[in-house]
Amino acid sequence: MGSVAPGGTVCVEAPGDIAYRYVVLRAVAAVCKLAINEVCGRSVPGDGFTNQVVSAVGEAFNNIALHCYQDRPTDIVRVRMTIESNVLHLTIEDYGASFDPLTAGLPDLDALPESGLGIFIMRSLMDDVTYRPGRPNVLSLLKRIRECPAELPGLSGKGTKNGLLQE
Amino acid sequence: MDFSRNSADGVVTLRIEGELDAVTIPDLRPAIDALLAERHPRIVVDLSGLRLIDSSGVGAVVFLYKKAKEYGGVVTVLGLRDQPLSIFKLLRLDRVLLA
Repeated sequence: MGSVAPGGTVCVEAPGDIAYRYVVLRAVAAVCKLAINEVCGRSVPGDGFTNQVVSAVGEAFNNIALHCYQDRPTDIVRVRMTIESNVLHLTIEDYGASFDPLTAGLPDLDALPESGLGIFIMRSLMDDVTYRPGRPNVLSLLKRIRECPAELPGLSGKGTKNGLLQE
Repeated sequence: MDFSRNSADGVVTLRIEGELDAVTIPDLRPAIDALLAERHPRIVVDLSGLRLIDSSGVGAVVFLYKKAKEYGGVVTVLGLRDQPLSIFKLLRLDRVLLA
């Protein structure tokens, strides 16, 4: 797998329709693999970093497709991903109704809620979440790679000690 | 997403493979409604073939659990791994639903 140019940005744009969820998430997963490979020297299937980023972006996409574009013409969702050092920056833009996920209350997990979990999942899995309403609305996510996949043989490679990245 | 169900020894097993999310939930919902309508006392949700779940998928499993509980039914989940397991743990559902 090739290396990533420092600060290089990947952009994927799709209609804000739930049918395009997998198209977007496959692109996100591919960029996560590049990031892991860049930091750890190789990647493995099903690593925690990729799973967490895909989960968070998936919830953001759901929110846009199912709520922000509800009752209005569906426009695009644009996801920009930039790898810098051991950090993946993502911005997700849409032209639907604004909704700041940072204003959502925390679910009562003891009550076993059936809904209202998506934003909690997204915020829990990311290191930083910010939101700027407008045209477009811009949701920014940040995720650090803190450790390399445990399954890797030879974890003593690139910048790691016992699998943990050196700050 | 693919799903199937079978019965053995008084237990109905619903096996779900692939993705359980906002895209696929509409396909699964009739199967869940049918299970509840038949009022099975013991339902196992086998997620060993599940690759990806989101909040919509989790909501459907919790819905099945809570509705079955209303008539005295028991729902357990088995086979979770990777991304689905991490989501269940994040939402603290592993202590309630896992077999």
